[in-house]
Amino acid sequence: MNEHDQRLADVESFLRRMQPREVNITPPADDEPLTLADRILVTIGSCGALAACIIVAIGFMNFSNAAPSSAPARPAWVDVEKMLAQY
Amino acid sequence: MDEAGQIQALINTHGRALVLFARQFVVTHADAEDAVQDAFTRYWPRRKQADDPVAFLYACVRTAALDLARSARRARQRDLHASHDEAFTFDHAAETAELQRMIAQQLDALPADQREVLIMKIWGELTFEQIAAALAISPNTAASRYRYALEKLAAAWPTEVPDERT
Repeated sequence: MNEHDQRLADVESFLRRMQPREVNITPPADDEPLTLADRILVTIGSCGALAACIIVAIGFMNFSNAAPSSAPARPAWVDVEKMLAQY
Repeated sequence: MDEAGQIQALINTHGRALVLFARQFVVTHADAEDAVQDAFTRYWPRRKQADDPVAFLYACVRTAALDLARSARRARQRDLHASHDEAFTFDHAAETAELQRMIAQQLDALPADQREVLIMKIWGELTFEQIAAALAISPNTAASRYRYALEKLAAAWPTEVPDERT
C-alpha cells in the first residue's frame, strides 16, 4: 500500500470511530384494527364517492340526450345567405 | 421475533446512521429524526417487496427527508445553516474532539452526492451494491464517489492522524 492509500485508510479508520449522536425514534405502530368511528367515516366516504359517481353519470346522460340526434349539416346563417342571394 | 421486535432491532442497528444520513437533507437533528420516523412508516408495509431491505430503508429515508426539506414549513428555516458537528458525539480526548469537529465541518463541505455515499458506507456499513441500489446508481459510481470523498477529507487532514486506540 502506497503512502496515499495508507492515508486514505487512516482517514477511513478515524471516521469509523466517530460516533453519530444518539437518536430517539419511536417504532411505527402495528396495523391497528379500525375503530367504530373509523368505520363510520370510511362508510360515509364510500357512500359520498358513490353518490358523486352517480350524479356525474346522470349529468353525462342528460347532456348526451340534450344533444340533437341529427344536427343540421350547416349552420342557419348559410340558409339566410342563400335566401339573400335569391333576391 | 415479532414485528415490533423486528422494527426495534432495525432502529437499534441502523437508527443512528439513518438519522445522520437524513441530516444532510434537513436543518436540524430533530427534523432528521422525524424523517427517519416517517421513513419507517413508508418502509414497513412494503419491506417484503424490497430486494435488499436495508438499501430500501435508506431509499425511504432519503425520500422522506427530501419531502420534509421541501415542505413549506421547513423552507422558512432553510437559511439556517445545518452543521454536522452536532450530528456526532465527541466524548474523546480534547484534541481528538477538535479534529472530529473539523472533520464534521469538512463533511458539510463535501458535494452532496459524495457525502451521502460516505455516510452510507462508513456509518451505515452498507456495501457499494447496497448503496447503488438505494441511490439508483451503479456500484462503480458509488465506489468512485466514496473515494473522491475520502480524498477530499484526507486533503484537509492533519499530517498525523491521531490514533485513539493508543
